[in-house]
Amino acid sequence: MRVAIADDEETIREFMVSLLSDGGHKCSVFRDGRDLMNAMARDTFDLVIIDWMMPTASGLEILRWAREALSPCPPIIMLTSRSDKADVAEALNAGADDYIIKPESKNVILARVEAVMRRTTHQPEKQSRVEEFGRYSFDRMTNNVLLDGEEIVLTAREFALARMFFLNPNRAFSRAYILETLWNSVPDLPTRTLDMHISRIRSKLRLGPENGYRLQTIFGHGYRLEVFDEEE
Amino acid sequence: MKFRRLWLEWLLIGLVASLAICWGERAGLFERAERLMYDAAAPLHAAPPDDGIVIVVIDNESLERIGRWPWPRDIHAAMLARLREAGARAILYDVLFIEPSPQDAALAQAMRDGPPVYLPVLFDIPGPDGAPYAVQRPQPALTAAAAGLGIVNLELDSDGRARRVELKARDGAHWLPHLTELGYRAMRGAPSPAYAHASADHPSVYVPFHPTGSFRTISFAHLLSGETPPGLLRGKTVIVGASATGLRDHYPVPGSAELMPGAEVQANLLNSLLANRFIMPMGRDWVASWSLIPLWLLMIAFWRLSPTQALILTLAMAGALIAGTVAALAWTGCWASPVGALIGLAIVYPLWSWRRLSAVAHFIDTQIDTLLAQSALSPALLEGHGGDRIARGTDRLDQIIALMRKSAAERQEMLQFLSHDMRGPQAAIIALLDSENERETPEQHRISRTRIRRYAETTLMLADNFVQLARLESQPAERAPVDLSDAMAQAIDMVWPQATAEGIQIDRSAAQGAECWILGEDDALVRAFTNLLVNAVQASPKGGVIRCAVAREGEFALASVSDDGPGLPPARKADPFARFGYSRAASGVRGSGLGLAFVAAAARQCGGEALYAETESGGAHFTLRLPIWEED
Repeated sequence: MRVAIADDEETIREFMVSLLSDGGHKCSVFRDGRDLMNAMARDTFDLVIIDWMMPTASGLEILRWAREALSPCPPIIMLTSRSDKADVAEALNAGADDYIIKPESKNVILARVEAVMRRTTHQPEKQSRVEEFGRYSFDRMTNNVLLDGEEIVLTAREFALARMFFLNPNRAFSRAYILETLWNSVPDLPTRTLDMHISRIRSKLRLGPENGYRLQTIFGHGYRLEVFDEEE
Repeated sequence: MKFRRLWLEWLLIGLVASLAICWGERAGLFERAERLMYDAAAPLHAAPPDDGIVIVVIDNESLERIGRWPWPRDIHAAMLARLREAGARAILYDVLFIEPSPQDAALAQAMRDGPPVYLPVLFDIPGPDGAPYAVQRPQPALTAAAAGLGIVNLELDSDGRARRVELKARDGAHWLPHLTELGYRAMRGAPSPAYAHASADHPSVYVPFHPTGSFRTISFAHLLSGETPPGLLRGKTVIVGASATGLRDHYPVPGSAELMPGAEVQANLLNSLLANRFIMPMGRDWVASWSLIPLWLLMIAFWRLSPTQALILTLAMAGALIAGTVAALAWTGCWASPVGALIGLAIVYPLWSWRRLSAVAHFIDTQIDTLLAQSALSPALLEGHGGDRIARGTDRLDQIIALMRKSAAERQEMLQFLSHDMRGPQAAIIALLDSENERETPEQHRISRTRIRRYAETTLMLADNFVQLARLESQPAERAPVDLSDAMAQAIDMVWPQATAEGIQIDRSAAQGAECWILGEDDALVRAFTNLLVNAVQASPKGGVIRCAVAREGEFALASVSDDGPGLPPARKADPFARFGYSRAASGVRGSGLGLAFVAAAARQCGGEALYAETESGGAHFTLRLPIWEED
């Protein structure tokens, strides 16, 4: 995969290059926004990772420009130390595929990169009745989930929501996307409905690091199911 | 800009007041007040009653004793004889003898026999049948016997009061002098200075009247019957005139509440002629002009004076104006009415005070708005107390200043925080890097790397806490329904790896599935719980258990985190959620207090509170008590 990395901090650039090269990716690095935009305009990348604060063009400007001008637009991940909830939401709502707050561990960064790549390179869906995810197994016939063999009863919508997360680990889902896919944009749906479903699957499935998963709220945007690596 | 506006207002007030004075003065609007002051002050200029003047009055008693008016003229002849015997020097006989009488010859003889007798003529303006004036003289025989004829005309002002007397009136080619002027000439042998000064255009003089009854007065009947002491009239100028009620020879004069008999009016005039003391009122134009002087002096003084000083100066100026003009009248006879000037002050002071106050009120309001805008404080936070609008404004300003002081103090703390807590770990990292050398074993190398990592993480956490707290306190909340148990679960997920690494358990059984909805900001709540959990992890001993719970209690949701640690250090117990509550003395304690300050701020944002207690084993037990949100 060809990955473009833009960051004005040399240490971060080197860190990212070594991280992604180990994963077998080919990296091009840029130290400012204008250079990256020129490169994106004439070259094709499978993934672009950009910092927010950069000379000549900010990450957000690049993001908006790319979504507007490039077709097809490569997936874009914001990697920045801006940690404010409003910033995260702004970048994701402007079309970033993910948002990683510096500093973040190697495992998490790789998992997020993979999640974004997996999404763009379509994988054939499994057709088996029971899908296994770590200690959880999803039975598509009964809409039941087994955790270590213990049966957990879910409603159809809870099952669909949980399965969506488990099929796309580490991927950021916007609330709008979830509502559209699972509720088919039911009008006048109380905003609390989704929160309640999230809350229920979290407690019913006992989603937590102790069971290998962490269901995170991306404040102001949506949710993400993180696969929790015990080695970390 | 502000100064320019105030200056324009100042000029406008001054000009408006000046115009009002000039117009009012010229239109005679202040006349009543001016006359009131004049009447009160005029007697002060009167010369002491001259010893050489005696009044003989035809009073009520005389009419009772002698009979009805008019008397037969031989009674007047008898009186003239009596006056001659008493040694009078000159006689102003203020009785009209216009109609003929059988006793005229006898009276004429009596007049010729004694001291000079002066008689009044009736000078009517206008005269009958379209004539400009008419002069009615005494009977020819009497005119021939008299030493002189004089007018006795008084000029009445529009309010009916006599303040002026005409010293001369033109009769054809020559002038008729006033009766008292003739008396003056008899006493001094020459025309009076006032007469000489009186011109055709200004024949009148303003007389400073004594109060009624100030001159020596004898009853006609008493004198005629010889009841008066001898020698009383020797060498005196005698004015004979009526005072009896029925004869209607009475006039209101300034300075006297009761009417003054005509004879006494003549006595006052003669007295003034003798002393040459008259009042010279200033013309209206002049009064209007000089009235502007104190006004503009006050206006100029307004720039420099405090409000109290301005009030004192205004009152002092008013007092000085009254005293000064009265004194000038008493001593020099020159009368410049202070009424216009007083009215000027009375216009200017409240107007200027109003503009000033309004400028201050406006300033306070705009300052409050500006400060509120700058400081991002909520206007609802400040409730003005105190009676009126300005008091409320100053009260609010006080509160803003207090808040700004507080934030200045916080800034000071922040600087300390930045210089100590933030720089500290960085300095430690540099020190660790500098101490590295080749002889280091891989094990030592690993240890110092771990330490560097921990220092960096500490700094990052501080920076994060600091920014988050500042954001929470400065930005308006966007509150939405949040499930407390869900927020707690997310926080536990965040802290779980750290806890597990330290061998600490997190017991979340009491926090799951409670579905307690409150109104707040989800990220702030998750962060608040995370802060509590991180503190708990740091405080817990190895193998300790952190207990999390979410429960309902009436209208409130309670979310708590407790640990097996030693609880808060004593120094922090007084105010556990104080920002920078980190006591420098209690060194060795990790943290800056920012985490707990954030917890308290997040609880406040949800309309609740953060509480601290200790468990039975002495561990810390933090609770967020937040009002429950119910869907309508």
